[in-house]
Amino acid sequence: MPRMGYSFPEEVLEHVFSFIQSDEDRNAISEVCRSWHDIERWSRRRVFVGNCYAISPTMVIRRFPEVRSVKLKGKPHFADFNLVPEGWGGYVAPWISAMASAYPWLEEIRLKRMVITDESLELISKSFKNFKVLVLSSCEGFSTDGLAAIAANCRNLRELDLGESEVEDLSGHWLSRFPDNYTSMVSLNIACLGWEVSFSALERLVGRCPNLRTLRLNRAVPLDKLANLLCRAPQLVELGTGAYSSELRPDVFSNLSGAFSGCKELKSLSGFWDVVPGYLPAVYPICSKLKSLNLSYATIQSPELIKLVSQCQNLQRLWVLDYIEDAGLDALAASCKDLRELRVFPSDPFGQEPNVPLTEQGLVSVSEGCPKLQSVLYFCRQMSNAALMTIARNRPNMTRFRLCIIEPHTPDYLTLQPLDVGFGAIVEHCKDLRRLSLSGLLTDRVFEYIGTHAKKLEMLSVAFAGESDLGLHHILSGCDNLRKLEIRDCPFGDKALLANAAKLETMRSLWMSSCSVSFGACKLLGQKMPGLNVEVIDERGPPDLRPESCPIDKLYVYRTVSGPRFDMPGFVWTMAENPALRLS
Amino acid sequence: MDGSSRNDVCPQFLDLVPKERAWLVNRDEQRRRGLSEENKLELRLGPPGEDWSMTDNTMKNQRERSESLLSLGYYSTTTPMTQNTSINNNGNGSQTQMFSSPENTGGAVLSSPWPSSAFQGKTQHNQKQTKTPSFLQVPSTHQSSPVLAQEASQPRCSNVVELQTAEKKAFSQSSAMTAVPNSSQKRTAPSPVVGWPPIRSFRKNLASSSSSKPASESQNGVPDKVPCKKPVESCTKGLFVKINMDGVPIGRKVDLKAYDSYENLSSAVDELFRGLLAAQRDSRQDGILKKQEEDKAITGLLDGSGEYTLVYEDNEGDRMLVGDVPWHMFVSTVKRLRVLKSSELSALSLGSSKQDKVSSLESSRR
Repeated sequence: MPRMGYSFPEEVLEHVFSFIQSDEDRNAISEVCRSWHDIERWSRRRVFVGNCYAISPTMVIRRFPEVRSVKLKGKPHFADFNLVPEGWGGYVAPWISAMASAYPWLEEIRLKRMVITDESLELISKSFKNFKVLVLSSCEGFSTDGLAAIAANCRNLRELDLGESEVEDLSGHWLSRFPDNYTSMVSLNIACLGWEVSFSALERLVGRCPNLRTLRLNRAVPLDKLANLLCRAPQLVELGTGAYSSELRPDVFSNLSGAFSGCKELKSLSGFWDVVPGYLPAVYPICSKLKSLNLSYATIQSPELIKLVSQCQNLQRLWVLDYIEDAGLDALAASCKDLRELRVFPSDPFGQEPNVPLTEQGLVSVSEGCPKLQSVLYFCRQMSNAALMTIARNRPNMTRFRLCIIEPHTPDYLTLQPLDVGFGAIVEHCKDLRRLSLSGLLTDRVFEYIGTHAKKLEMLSVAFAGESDLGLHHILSGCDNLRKLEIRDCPFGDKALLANAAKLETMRSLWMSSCSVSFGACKLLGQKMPGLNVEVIDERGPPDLRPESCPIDKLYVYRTVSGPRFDMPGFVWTMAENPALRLS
Repeated sequence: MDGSSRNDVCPQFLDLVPKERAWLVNRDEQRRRGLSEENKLELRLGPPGEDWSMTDNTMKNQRERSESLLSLGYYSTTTPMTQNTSINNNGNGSQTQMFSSPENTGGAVLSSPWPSSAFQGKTQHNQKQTKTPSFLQVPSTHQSSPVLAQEASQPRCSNVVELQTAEKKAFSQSSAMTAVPNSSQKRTAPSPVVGWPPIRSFRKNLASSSSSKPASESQNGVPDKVPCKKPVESCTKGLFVKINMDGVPIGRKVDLKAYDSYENLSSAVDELFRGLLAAQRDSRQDGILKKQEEDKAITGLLDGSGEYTLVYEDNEGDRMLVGDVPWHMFVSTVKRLRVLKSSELSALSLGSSKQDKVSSLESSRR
């Protein structure tokens, strides 16, 4: 039987491979044989590096010389909540400079939680002639000057998405740097910008880009200018408004309403800062076509929310504040049968008492009424095992379940029991669960359930839970597909960590802060596991000035093929084989 | 013990713990052998076939489960664990991992040992012997502590509280365990905890646009302007505000509680940015190495006489010159600092012009 792999010319294989986009599949292809490996690596166009310190840019470039699209992630997820001290790392500059010379045809850069400077932005704008997509999600370190360079030099730019980045706003004039003959914008997201951009430049830009599909404005764009923009871009599919408030005036209202009606393709709405409810009906004409609605900045009360949401029969994604109340979620469950994702954010996260009647009941209703619900992020102040069990039974198709009961250690409010059994039901029934965040009063038992049942779980977030190392041991030994584990304020110590050291090499990363991992254990882990970077993060000072048994403040362990990094600030130490390599 | 005990059938990925997940810690014997600290940690590293483990068969512990439960003491390093050979389905030899807690046990004080009946429970439900949902099948005797073992029917909450309280005493070093477990419905006032609840900073001040109710349809349709609440985090220790400087890409943070006057703040800003600014200037000269000159001091921040001027954003989102109001008032309203080129000051609208109502968005985003 002839070996088929060798009988196809390279061009044929390359053509076949071009249909294969997923990284996993491509990785599998590259393991078949030497020649497939070579063909595959020359034809790979997209690279995703989930942890920018897991590999060096040189190594990526060496293996994949013809990449057109790069996605990198930097800081651990808990950086979103200020748990990672500033200056920890995640600098993209080495990647940009390496790619500037190696990938002249690079088209797309997508970064998440990385630090990017204006210099890097300028380098991007000048190095890649065919640059098309820049997505900076939760990034920082740059200013509007860097954006000006992008605007001025990237003639083929299609997408500029600033996500939820922190941008130093020096001037709103960067937008005017897009040349008059620049017309290729497809997606522009500047929602995170604090200060005004030049409105006339924005208007002209919107007016001359016929392919503009996504426009997310920042809060500084006033409502009375919105109609004008919409009239210039009736082909918009996704819109983020600016501040949604203005003096109630009939002419402004009718202009706005007319403009919205003119947007026949609009499927996604966001923005809605400072909502004046009187203007909400302006969007009613397009509600029935909406698939995605982000009202998480809209401080409006439940009745208005209900009126709005009840008209969105095709809604698939809703982000909203807990002002929606249980009653609003009931209405959602009744009207939006296609709902896939629900996020309910707290309007008063630091208040000690509930400020709105939003309880577990709202989530239960939605789980009953929305058969396609698979992704949930829910902040509330009370929960019961019974409710969780009901949700689990209703929605075995759940894939992402993140529950945040605002007060740590809150038990089942009906029985005063821990919520182990409720979360146990979630992991048992929802067999495809990929992401889970726990909260409330939890013992080691919940981790046993998770270790036993959550076989597809890839990311787990744990806070103020568990009783002993057994909990951590259950997770590490039971969750076969675990990639990211983040833990804070749990009584987990050295034992489970050291006993499951090898597991850590199969995961992307582990974060543990305010737990009980000793410095000695970290050292041991670092010494024994050369394939891991064991980073001790401690702003109190060098950990070796304290006894080895002292718990460290924060631990970040991740697998890497490029050894300890060299850009660590003074409060991060890598535990390495060779003590001389422990740089500070 | 050599690598032959590894199961060749199941894919092994350097798992220290055998598939049946029973494992054992045996400190007694380890002490007797007088192993050095490093050797006490036996990690199974390396690809299958290579075995670094120094354990030998005598380490295997064949005690019964029931013994293990009863013999559990509270945190003692002599607590033996048992291994449940009855769930050794794959024919794997049981492995013994030994590891030490570093030098003494002060660091990782655990509240419970590892009853192997934990694994027994799993086996039971794997065999599906009853119809009840498996997670309920875990026998109530299978507890993670002897205290709980006898109290299967009682609310476990209070026991958990005991455990947690005991642990908290032990974890005296741990600084962030501020939340007190509370088994009653009444909630004690929480002390502010960093990063909790887990929401992004730009979501934190939304409700403060109206202190109690969300914006209702008021007569003129303009929402009331209420000062944004400071996030609780910033009240705990120090008062850190971000400070950015023109020409320096990455901002810094300063703790305003460390200063008691504008002069001190000004010199701190000079110290903070002097070197960085010089570095930026160097790098902008196309990498031409300059002779090591003394970095130029940043002066005149407060009176407009220098190349740079210090401005701040207050809690209403307005940009103000630093130095106009009494220090304590400044500290209570400042949200963010900026060091701007004095030449560009006039281009910005400073002070409280109504036009800058939109700038409140930035402070709410912090």
